[in-house]
Amino acid sequence: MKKPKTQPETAKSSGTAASSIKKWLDFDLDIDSLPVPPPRESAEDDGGDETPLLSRIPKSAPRFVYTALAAICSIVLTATLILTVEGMPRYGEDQDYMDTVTYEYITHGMEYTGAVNIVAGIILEYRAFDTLGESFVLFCAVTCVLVLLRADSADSQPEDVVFRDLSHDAILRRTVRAIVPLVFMFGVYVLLNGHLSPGGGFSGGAVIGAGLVMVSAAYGGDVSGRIVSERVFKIVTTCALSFYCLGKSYTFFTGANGLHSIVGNGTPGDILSAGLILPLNVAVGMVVACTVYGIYRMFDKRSF
Amino acid sequence: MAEWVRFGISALFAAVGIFAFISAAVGAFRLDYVLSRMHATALADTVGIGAIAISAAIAAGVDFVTLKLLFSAAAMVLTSPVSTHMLAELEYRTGDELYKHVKFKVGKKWERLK
Repeated sequence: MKKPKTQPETAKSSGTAASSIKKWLDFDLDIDSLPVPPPRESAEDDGGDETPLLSRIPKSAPRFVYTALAAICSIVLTATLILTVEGMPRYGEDQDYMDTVTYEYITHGMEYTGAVNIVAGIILEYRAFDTLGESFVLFCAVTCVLVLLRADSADSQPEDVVFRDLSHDAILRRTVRAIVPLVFMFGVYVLLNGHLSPGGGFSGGAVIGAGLVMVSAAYGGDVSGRIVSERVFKIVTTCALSFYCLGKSYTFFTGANGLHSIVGNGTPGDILSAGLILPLNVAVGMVVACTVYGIYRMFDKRSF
Repeated sequence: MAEWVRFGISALFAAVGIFAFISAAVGAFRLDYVLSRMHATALADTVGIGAIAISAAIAAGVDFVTLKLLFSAAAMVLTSPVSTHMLAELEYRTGDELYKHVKFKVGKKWERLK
């Protein structure tokens, strides 16, 4: 019954809407004379029940059901994890490998890539373009944040967003001053040692980025901006990604065609070994550090 | 015998750490205000991780890994209270409900603001 009644009304109102738009364009529209739209009767459509949707879900099983379910979930999960660990090979033991790819990586990985750390050998030699894609994902993320959050110019800094600058806290400054050199040193160690021990580009870059964030949080953007300014950020990111593309393309090309590569594998275990893995780790680490720091700065002050 | 003594000391430290973490979990669920919960969990970070690192160091014997463990424990003891301090300061500066949970000294009595 409602539909035929409302249709002519909307038709009429659209006619008045067209005429009032024309009036508005001619600068002589009296706003008070416009018809006021009737209030929506959505509550009646819902059957007069004004309770929000969530509370209309039946008031649930008694509490012990949730407790019992939580206990069962926890026990099953814990038991699964512990049983999985039981089934894994013991550290340093020989295994009969089920998977040919795993077998290939574990037996010939060090010989082909020169990396003692098998994981670094896999992600930076066999699956190097995966890692390049991940670096580009990070680059895209920081680009999107730049596009969305960047203040238009220097004098349009939003004042009202900042609640209170906590960066003048003496405790924070002292602690950061004591810790940051160690953090940077550890990050560089993880980066440079990525092909020899657990670690590598992503983790080392995250550590360095965290150090930059700490400096920025304790001393403000002016101090951390002396280490990584916007210019440095752009140059480092672009150079690292380009170097990764070109260097990895070169070794893939020579490796696939059996050509002689100027990047040798060296002696596994040396710091200068494993072909391009060390420089690629550094490149990935630079991108990750710049991404972490850049996103933090964008959300903090909307500029570098 | 010496093995058992070492195991006992290690287990003692592990028990201290596990107790700290369990009390933190209980506190995080039972206490009713941000600062109270922060108080409960911050203790676990420092005491619990420190005790468990010492326990693992004793159990594994003294070598290079012990040094790493102690370094990580020292880093936690150094940084965790600072992060809690900053979070608490943020809550203190911006929290609207702080006055409901704090008692003030009026004369000789401690009273809550209504």
